[in-house]
Amino acid sequence: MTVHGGIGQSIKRKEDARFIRGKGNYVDDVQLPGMLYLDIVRSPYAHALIKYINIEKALKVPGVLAVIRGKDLDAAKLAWMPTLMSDTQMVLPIERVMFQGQEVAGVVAESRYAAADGVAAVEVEYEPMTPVVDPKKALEPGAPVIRWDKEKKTNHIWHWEVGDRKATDAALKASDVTVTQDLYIPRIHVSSIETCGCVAAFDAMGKLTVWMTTQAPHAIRTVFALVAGLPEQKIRIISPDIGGGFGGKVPVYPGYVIAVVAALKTGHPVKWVEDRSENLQSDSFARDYHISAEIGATKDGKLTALKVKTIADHGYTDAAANPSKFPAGLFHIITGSYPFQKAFVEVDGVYTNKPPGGIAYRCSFRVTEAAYTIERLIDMLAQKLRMDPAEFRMKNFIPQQAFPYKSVLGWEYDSGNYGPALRKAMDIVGYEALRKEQLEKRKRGELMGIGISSFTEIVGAGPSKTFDILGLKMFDSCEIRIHPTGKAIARFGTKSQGQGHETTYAQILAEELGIPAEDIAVEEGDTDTAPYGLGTYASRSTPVAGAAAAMAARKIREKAKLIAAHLLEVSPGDLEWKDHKFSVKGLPSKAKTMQEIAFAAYTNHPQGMEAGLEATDYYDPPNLTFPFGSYICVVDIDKDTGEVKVRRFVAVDDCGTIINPMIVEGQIHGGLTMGFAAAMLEEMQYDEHGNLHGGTFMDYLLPTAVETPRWETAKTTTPSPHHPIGAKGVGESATVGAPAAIVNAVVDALSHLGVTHIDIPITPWKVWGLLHEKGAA
Amino acid sequence: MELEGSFTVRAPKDRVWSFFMDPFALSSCISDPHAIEVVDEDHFKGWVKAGVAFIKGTFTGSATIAERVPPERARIKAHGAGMGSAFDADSTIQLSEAGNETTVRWKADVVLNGTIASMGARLLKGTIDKKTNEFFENARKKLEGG
Repeated sequence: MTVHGGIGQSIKRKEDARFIRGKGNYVDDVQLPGMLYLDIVRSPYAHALIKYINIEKALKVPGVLAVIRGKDLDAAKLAWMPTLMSDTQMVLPIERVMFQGQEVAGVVAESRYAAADGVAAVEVEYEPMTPVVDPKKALEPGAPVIRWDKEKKTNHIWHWEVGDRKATDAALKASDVTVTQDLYIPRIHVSSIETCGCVAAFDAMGKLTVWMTTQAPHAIRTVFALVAGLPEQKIRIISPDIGGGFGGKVPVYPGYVIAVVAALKTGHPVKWVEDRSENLQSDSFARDYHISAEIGATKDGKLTALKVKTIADHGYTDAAANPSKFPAGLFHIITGSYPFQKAFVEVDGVYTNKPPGGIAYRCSFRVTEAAYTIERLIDMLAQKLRMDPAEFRMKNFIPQQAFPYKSVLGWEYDSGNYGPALRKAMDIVGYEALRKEQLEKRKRGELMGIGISSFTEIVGAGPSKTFDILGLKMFDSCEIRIHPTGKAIARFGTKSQGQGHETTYAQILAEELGIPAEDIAVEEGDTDTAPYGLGTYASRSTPVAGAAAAMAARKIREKAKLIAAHLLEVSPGDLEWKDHKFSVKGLPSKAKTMQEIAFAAYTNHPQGMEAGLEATDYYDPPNLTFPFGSYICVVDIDKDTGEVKVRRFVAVDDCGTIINPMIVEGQIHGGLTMGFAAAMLEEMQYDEHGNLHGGTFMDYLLPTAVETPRWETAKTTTPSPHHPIGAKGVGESATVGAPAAIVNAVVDALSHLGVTHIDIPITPWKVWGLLHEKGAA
Repeated sequence: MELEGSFTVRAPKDRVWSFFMDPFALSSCISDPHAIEVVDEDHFKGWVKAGVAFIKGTFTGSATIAERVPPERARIKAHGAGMGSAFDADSTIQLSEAGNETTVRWKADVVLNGTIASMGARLLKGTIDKKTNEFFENARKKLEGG
């Protein structure tokens, strides 16, 4: 017997009833009486001294009530604030600006128009300084040191390494075949449809409420308490509906803090909402890894060793949203789906005059960078060995019997079964027939390529022994209350940004409690009501909060069993949980449903037992989860224009137990589209003066439905052995896996011309240039 | 951004020189709405309403004649700001006479920062070329006409 909306059912998303009718409630929908508007003066220079800020004219603009400068914040020690990586960043500058688009002053006015006019009237005199744009040049001797405030006079932030350098060097030296390659994974932007913003309001009792576009409301409350010195019970963060986060809504941006100060200063609620260009120019970016890698194998195609050196451009401060102990995120998942015996990875963080960030853009802490690098290198090695890339992967995969598998760089993969996933993708796409077609087309001078990516993800941060952000352990939580009529409300420490938590969590609870999913309300995002949690990013919601849901439900079941025994007048030991109710063993007709038990919990509970039916669980995962997949991409290339057309893209994903197949498919479609965008279109380019060339969607290319290929999805199921319901995360898998499949396909199409690598994004211009260079056009 | 060009006008070198050293004569060659104020012989300030594509607004700025070698060569430095943008231009003009014609060779190193560089990059070169040609064409007309 199934419960309606239980695990594995493709029920429609509960939240869509409001979203598809335009009835969502986003930050910009919040309207409060007497509300004022904040707009921000931004620096035109990437690096400059501030000589003066004259606000007189701005204050005369009708409707303008206040202008806030760095020196105004300094009095309250708020001119600087900590980043998530315990570095420091300016809320508003006093003496220097560090990137083009940096916040310089805040103008508060009665309307958005007046605030914008006030911004135009603020006079700032700058003395331009030489900007540091290239992170490699930033490390050269004599480069201008941009963080004048730091004791260490260098642009180098940190060095991080893992693995055995000596042994790896020796293994590479002893390898029959090696490939060395530089790869640049460009700076890209999450570009959520909803930009960042907030409404800050103090009530008569001095309690601060902030409606905020945040993926981690509880952590934000604690940070506000610690930074601003406000008592934590007097801070309420409400994260309403969020129009896409993808990691970009994890950090604390200066605009939030300025809005709070403005509300305090004016005594009115203050709203701040960025426009698109502000969002692109100043919010957290992703990637920007300059990688040099070397990989080795024996002549018969067995992998030997991997060595990777990376320069990470962090902008002017390290504001990455990584767990504290992992400055380069989980980049050391870079050995991927392969049993390397020797590996060494080192990353150096560097300051440049660019916006800060380095967030998990659907890539759970640098996993996209890792997966892209290893899957690219595997193909290059196969090319050099003249082996088929599918055969080469099959020969080298970590075998199924090796799980749980301990990687040489320290991870313990929970479960995996890589061969069947690749075989399934090959069968769906018709791999062998495509290879024949490719040969024939080459004879005719036509260009087609087939690219594979067999990635391993790492999500669900994370176990408290190693994972924290600013010291806060990365558990997550669920609190369930069953009402007398058998309906329920469940609250979580996470926060959906469109992933469908209201449905997914309800389905886990439906399965565990025997209450239909539509009878379970799911709430998140209000720190006054939800239990504490670290929020939603890096595909952690289902692995961590989803596990908390199952565990809290099981606590409810323990108590429910006692009530059922009381109602049925049997001993609890005589009962079993079967078909979503408690029944007497061997007498299935003698049973009590959760609805009957819930009613009794308030009307007829056993003497000596507390009334009510509630439970809370704070789940500390024993390990991360390791979803995986195999993607195959087929491309055709127009020789005359260099245009790459993705003819087919088959994605076989394995994210363990699937809670709602339709939601998972939607997540994969979205992730694939983002992976496609990174591979083909997106790059935040800066000129020599540090100006972003791509401050609008006219210049920063994102795919629309017109450019997006048709996705073909399929699955294998390898449950996580340690997760209560065997689930793994999935939100990021496709973004992690897709770019390499596309690049591998393009390089495959051109490999007979001697092409071994093309950096992303693969623009027609690059391909056209290569075709001309190789004399093929 | 390095820009350079030249134009030839049917006028003696001395007249062309005086024209280029007269801020009001020069200002009359700017088609966009603007105003100019003479601080002293070598320093001017003013505003101009201009822009690239949809980024239009008022820029305020100042210019300095940094060097003058009459009637041959002058160097003018300009700085302006507005619309979240800033520009700095370092330009030289060099005059040479042949027959009854004077050729003006000009060079400018223009640095743009902020919104206009960030959002207008694709259209910038075209707009600058257009404005520059317009300016010198106006100058030529005025010199030859009067």
